[in-house]
Amino acid sequence: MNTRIFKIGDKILIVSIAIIVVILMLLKTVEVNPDKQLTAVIKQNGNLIKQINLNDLKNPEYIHLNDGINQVILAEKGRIRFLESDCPNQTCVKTGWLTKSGDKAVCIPSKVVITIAGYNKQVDIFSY
Amino acid sequence: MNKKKRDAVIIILICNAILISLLELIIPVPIPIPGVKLGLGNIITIIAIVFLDLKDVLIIVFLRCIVVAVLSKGITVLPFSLAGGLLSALIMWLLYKKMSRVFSIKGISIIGAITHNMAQLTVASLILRETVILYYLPILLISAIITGLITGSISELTVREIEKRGNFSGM
Repeated sequence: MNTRIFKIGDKILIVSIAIIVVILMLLKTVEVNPDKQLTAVIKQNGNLIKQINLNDLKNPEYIHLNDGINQVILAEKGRIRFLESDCPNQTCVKTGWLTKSGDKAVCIPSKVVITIAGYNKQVDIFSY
Repeated sequence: MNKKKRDAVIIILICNAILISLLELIIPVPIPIPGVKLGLGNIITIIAIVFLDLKDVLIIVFLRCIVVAVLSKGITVLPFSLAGGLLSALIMWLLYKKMSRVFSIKGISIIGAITHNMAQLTVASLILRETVILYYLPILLISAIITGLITGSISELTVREIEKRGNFSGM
């Protein structure tokens, strides 16, 4: 058993994963449309907490969440992030700013998800 | 005698798995993506798969997950590590027993890492009640190739060394 040698399955595996990743990345970039309205959707436990239109935001807005875990979310014009969190590994805070449609920040301990949804301006009349 | 040696080997592997997984927590993860880590405990899982039965492998993974969860991030991470650990151990065991001609230990380790990540994403989606699988899939696939290759290579070297010395023979 030579440890340097890759068997045929290994090679096929690595190449096919690389192809899948490239396709997934391409699909993601195609989706991004700069003319879209940026709307941040904050959900906890699957329930909608708040929806903010980031394009129209004049002043920074702080959203305080306190459901077992204290969290502060900061929304500014065109961007949003987890600012502070009491969760142990701080993955959500380290994710940093979300700026494009499709960006996501997740905090598993508090079950909070921030997603930037991009809506086309024409379709933006839909009411919620 | 054989049974005793086997039990001793299982205990040694459990202890090693726990120690390696705890040591891994010291290594900082450069990317802030939930679920990205080296998965060094996987090395022990693969060694167990090569030398022991499926039942023993699952016991080792199960106990490692529980002890590491209690000692580190708390019981909340347990569903993630159990789902990922047990499922990837099962898949890697099947591949090692049935498809060793096609895949080396490195390839099996990569598939194990992918399985681990997919299981964790599924649990995350269930807990968050929102599908996050597609969003994190590309980065987790890339990280699975890298970490799977690293842990797979270490496992392969270790397995070869153990076979050469005959440490686990006569069980």
